[in-house]
Amino acid sequence: MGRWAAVLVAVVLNGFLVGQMVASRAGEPAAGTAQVHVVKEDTVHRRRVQAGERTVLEVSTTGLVEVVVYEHAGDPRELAQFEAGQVPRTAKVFPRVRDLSYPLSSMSGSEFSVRVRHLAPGQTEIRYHPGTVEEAMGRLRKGQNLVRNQATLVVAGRFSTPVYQLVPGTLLRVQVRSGKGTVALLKTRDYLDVKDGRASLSSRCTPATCVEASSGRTVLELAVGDYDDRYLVAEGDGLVVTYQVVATPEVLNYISSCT
Amino acid sequence: MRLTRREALKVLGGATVAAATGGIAHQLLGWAAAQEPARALLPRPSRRVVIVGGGISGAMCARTLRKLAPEVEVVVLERNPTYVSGPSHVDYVVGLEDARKVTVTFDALVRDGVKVLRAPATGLRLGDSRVLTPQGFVEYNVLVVATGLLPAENEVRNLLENRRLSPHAWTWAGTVELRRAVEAFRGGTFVITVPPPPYKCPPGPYEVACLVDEFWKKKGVRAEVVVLDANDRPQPPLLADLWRRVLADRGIVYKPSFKVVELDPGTRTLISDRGERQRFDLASVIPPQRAPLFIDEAGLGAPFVPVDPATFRVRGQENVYAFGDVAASPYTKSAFTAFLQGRNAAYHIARALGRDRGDPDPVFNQCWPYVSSREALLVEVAWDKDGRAIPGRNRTAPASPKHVEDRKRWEYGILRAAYG
Repeated sequence: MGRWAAVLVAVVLNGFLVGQMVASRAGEPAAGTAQVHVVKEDTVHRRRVQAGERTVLEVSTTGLVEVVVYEHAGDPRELAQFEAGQVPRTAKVFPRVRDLSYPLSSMSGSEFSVRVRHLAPGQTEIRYHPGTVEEAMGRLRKGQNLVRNQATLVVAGRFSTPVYQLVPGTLLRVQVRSGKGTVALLKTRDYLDVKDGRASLSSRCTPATCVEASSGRTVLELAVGDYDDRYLVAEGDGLVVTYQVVATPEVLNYISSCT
Repeated sequence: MRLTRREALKVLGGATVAAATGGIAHQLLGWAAAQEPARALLPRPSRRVVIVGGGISGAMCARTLRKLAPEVEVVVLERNPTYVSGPSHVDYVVGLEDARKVTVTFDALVRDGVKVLRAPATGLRLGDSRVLTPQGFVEYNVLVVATGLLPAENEVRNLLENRRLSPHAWTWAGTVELRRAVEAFRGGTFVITVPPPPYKCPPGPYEVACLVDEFWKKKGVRAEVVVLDANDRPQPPLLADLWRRVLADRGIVYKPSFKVVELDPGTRTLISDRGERQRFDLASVIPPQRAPLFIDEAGLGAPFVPVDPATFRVRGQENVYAFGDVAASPYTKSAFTAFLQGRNAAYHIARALGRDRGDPDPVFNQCWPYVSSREALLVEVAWDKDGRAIPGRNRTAPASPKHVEDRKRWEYGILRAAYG
């Protein structure tokens, strides 16, 4: 009886968290006319973002892509690297992506370059949804949550990627959609131990930070309360994983235009 | 001006030991919290505010509170006999400031009727309304947490054990060590690192880079200065473009998104989370910064104390306030905002104790970061009374000698206001 009750609780909890992810996806981005580009080949876009603007980049593909978002920082060497097809150290990289949402925003105005490279052929839609930082902050002030970025990844073997835009008050949600393996959210020290072979992934796993796809539990939600970086580390076969970084109104206590 | 060991010790006084053992003390203070002192240091209070920490925000809060509510007993717990002004740490590294001019005592607070107890807080017992110290406990009606932050050297592998290779200006003892190292430097590669935010004084690391670069050029020392930044742009973001230009003009190597996670003492190399390596002859690794351990142990939050930015009351606590660097709030972690937060919190504490003296002006920030010994930048940020940033009030200005004068005038001014 107790075992069935536990299973029931797990199913209900999974359903609730999946529902949360679906609901918050539907709520993003803010209303506005999106620019849509449909491509099958590798593509680079350059976009100027005005002061206070928050344009949400969305990429979805029937294949598999790597997306690199580079904000021009005034370093000509970095720009040259990006233009040569390399990844500058300040770029945000989203490898093995099936879909992605990431904001291009700036308080003082900036220029971004977005590169979409096909790892597996397919048709890819790139959309830019207009919006402002003030609208996003307004949602938080009204007590609503806000998706900062999200992606669906296809994992083969050992995989790791940094998770961007984490501050105290954000929720980090992970859902394993299909496949077999382990997905973990590790802090820097644990990530390095696993990456450098000093520890196995399972030895750095706790129920609060890992999901094992075969266990029946497929959803993880981590409330971020510190400034430590987190890395999504996965091991498995045919894993399809969606993660979402969600700002709660608590984030307002930690965001300043000067820090 | 060369600094002798005797002078350094004279200036440092008792502060040295406590500050020099920052990370270890961090652990010890947590350990000491378990040792319950039996003795009350002061009689049971009728209306007592205990302020833990006599830095710029704690001192300003204490003095303001005495003016707003003279009938309230104000106690400051401070482990050091003197306070050395934080903004002058970077000046001191290259001899721009005489430490005696920016080292103050707590005598003016005492003259104002503040009880200053020379004791480190080692624990909090919120249920009993007590602050624990090694000498005994102090009871309170209102508790104010103004401890500032401690460098978490343990978060960079091998840093704690090799601190002598890498002094930094984010403690006073470290500042003195760094100055000695800068004076003794005979050439090679100097590397300074920037931790992820929030950390005390966001422009500070770039100021140190510019100042030591200028210092060595004047002395004819051949040095390559390298800034390894855990962030993807110089801080604060409003100054990013100006900093990039300043660093490039001086030939200072700037590497963004380089988060140092390890120091290899054998090869004198710093290693990033991506495995990149940077060799050094002299390093100044600025560690991530955290609230003292006893605050977390008391359940007030980690790594910072969450507060209502409008009143500075700690969330979920009726009679506990926190401000300055230790608070999780939207305000920049600078001496300027800490000073104003201490002042404003006093108004809210006075109101909670039945003395409504109106609303203080909202917190704002001005900062004049050095780009050389003669010129400084300017950045201004403002918040409304609820702590929401007002983007229209942000302002930056390029380097100017006038900003150096403004900076010094401001610093001496807040020291006078807080310490007499």
